[in-house]
Amino acid sequence: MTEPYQMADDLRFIRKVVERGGGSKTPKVIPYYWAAYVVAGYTLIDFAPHWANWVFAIGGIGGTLGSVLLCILLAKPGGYADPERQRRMTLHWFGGMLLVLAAMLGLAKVMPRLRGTNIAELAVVFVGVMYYLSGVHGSATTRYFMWAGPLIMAGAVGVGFLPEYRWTAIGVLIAVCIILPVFRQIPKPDGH
Amino acid sequence: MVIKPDIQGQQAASDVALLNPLLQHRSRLGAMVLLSVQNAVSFVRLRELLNETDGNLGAQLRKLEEADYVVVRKEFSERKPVSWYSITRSGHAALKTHLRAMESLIKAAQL
Repeated sequence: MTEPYQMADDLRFIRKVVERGGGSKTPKVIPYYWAAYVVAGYTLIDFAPHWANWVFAIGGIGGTLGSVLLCILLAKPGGYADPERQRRMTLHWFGGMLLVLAAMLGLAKVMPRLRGTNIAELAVVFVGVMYYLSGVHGSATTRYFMWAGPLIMAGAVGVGFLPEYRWTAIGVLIAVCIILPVFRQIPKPDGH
Repeated sequence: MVIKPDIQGQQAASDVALLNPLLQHRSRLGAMVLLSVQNAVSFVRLRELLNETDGNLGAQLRKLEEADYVVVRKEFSERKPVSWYSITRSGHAALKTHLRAMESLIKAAQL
């Protein structure tokens, strides 16, 4: 084989290798958990609002700790170690959510107009920003969040026009945004 | 009319000069690309992905280590030794230059 042909062949081989396993993948149970969490939490705002806060608080803390632990436990046996990425992801999602919560509580205190549904919609807008930034700075599998984030933000504004079940609608929208990248992770058959 | 092929020829010659002989081996190049997208990858995972034997991959990785393109960290997991490979800064730079030269040559050959 002549040199450029050899090189093109090598590049094809490497592309296949990278597609097959160029990075650690997020365990699928994590996005499924968070999709169920947002659907349950937001639906409860419409149907049993007094339970919603508890589901969000307990499910949020438990889910974050569980997700981090699962990533650490499954990454090493899979042959990958990226503590820096895990630290960044924890800071992004857990730290980010805490900051959003603190900012919302602060805003509700100084701006009474923002209480109730208004502040909740504003919180969802911030969550959309977090998704967008995760897409910008995250791995290839979360690049999709670059447009899921703005979609969530638009949804947070858009559901304001719905007469009923607006929170259920926004929960479903966010859940779909979380789940879709899972299907992008399914490896293509390559004869390996 | 005659100038263009000359320029292309000069460009191709400079691209060939930029090719790194150490990275012209498929397994070494594959290992470097895999390590460039991940903080650390175990020897076993690299072997599976590159479809190599223990001995061959070990020899190729040693060459990369000697060139200071990769570093190895050894640890024990469930009493078994595990070697973790990571790409170095100079490895990243070498890979980037080599891939650019490859891309340019392939384009010039219009493959």
